[in-house]
Amino acid sequence: MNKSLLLKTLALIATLFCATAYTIAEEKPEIKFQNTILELVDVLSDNNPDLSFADKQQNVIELFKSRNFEFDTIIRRTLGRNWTTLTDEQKEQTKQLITTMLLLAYSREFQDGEKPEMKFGEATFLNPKQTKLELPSAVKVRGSTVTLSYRLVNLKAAGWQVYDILVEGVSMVSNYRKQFDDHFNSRKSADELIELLKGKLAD
Amino acid sequence: MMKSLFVKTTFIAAFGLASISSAQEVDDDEDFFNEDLEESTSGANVADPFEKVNRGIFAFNDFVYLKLFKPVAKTYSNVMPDPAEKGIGNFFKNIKYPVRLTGNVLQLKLGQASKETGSFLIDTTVGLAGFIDVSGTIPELETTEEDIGQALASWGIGNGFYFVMPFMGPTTLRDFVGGRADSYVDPLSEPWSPIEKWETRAVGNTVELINNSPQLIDIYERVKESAIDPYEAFKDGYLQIRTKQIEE
Repeated sequence: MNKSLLLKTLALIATLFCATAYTIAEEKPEIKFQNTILELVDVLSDNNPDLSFADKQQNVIELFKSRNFEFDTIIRRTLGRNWTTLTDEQKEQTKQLITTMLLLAYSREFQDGEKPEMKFGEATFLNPKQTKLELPSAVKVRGSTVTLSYRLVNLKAAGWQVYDILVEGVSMVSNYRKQFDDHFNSRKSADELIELLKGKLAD
Repeated sequence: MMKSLFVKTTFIAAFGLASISSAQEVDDDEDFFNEDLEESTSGANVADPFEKVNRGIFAFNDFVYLKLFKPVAKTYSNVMPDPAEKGIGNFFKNIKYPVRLTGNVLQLKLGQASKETGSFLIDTTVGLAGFIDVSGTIPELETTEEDIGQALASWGIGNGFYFVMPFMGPTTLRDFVGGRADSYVDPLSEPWSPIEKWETRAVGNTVELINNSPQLIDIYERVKESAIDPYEAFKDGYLQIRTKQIEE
């Protein structure tokens, strides 16, 4: 009787353990991010003619928000120390403009309606404290394959967030930071940067 | 006995769960945002003493790429079936084998050199003169692309300074010298090309350029569109790629 009870208890614990572990595994940051990217591709490659780019952009932002991801981290990272020199209004405008610019560049890949094939590799931690990880991927579109690696950080305030994207090994954040540093080092103001971004988007 | 087993099992299950769910956070978010970028993602800091001239050449190249090359590339891409375009690209990559071999040998990467040789032999024979990238399907033959510029870097020679070449785009003094040296082993370049007639070499180089153009123009436009300062964006992108190639 006791033996039977023990076996039942063990089976219950094992079931609970497996179910909980499965749920936690499902919520691994790299898995969650990977699924979000796949959904993002679906949104951007939606061929519905009634959807404007602005609609798709809004859908992407909402998708990210619903999965607890945001563009703020990557944008702040590109501005580095220059971020603190911006007023709250400038910060908000800069975030919106850079998000639009990045999504426009990204969505060019989907203009001909061809949905890219995406393959994700094994995520690896980038530091011993395991606060940063890299998720490699390969995107095949129009016969060419491009490698994309997403870097994620676990922030106190916002949890796991993407902080850099490496395109064929080229860091987008590093590339933008050089451009922003150059802008501010040449004594140009934040308002001039905002005007520059608006001008780029109007082109 | 049974109680002890029960406690142990519960403990193991609980401990297992704890270890799965323990996710570390950064110590301070502000420190993370203000920290310097990781070394692996920072391009080399290279002097750009002729920036004004370089920006002029960059603007000239921009005109050439978008007004002259792009229409040709677009027409070519529309006319040429994708598999043919890919096959031609594979062919030119295969005949540049001596450049990659020299780059490997000069860095004493003999394992990589033998992989390059194996790939060349397979692609030239089984791959029908290199048109089919058979070696690309064999993981054991995977290599990184080497050149003499990378060999110079591995010998401790620095970048020198950055500049932009008309038509060819960004480079550094070291990579320019490496590129000139590459041409000595490149079958399509002077002075030691096995192809005697300059007209044949010119046709080969033109076909290669036109075949590669659609993809290159596409990348060029994408980077330019999403850049605040395209000149800086290409300079940093070039230096990041070269830093990564040298590290590999």
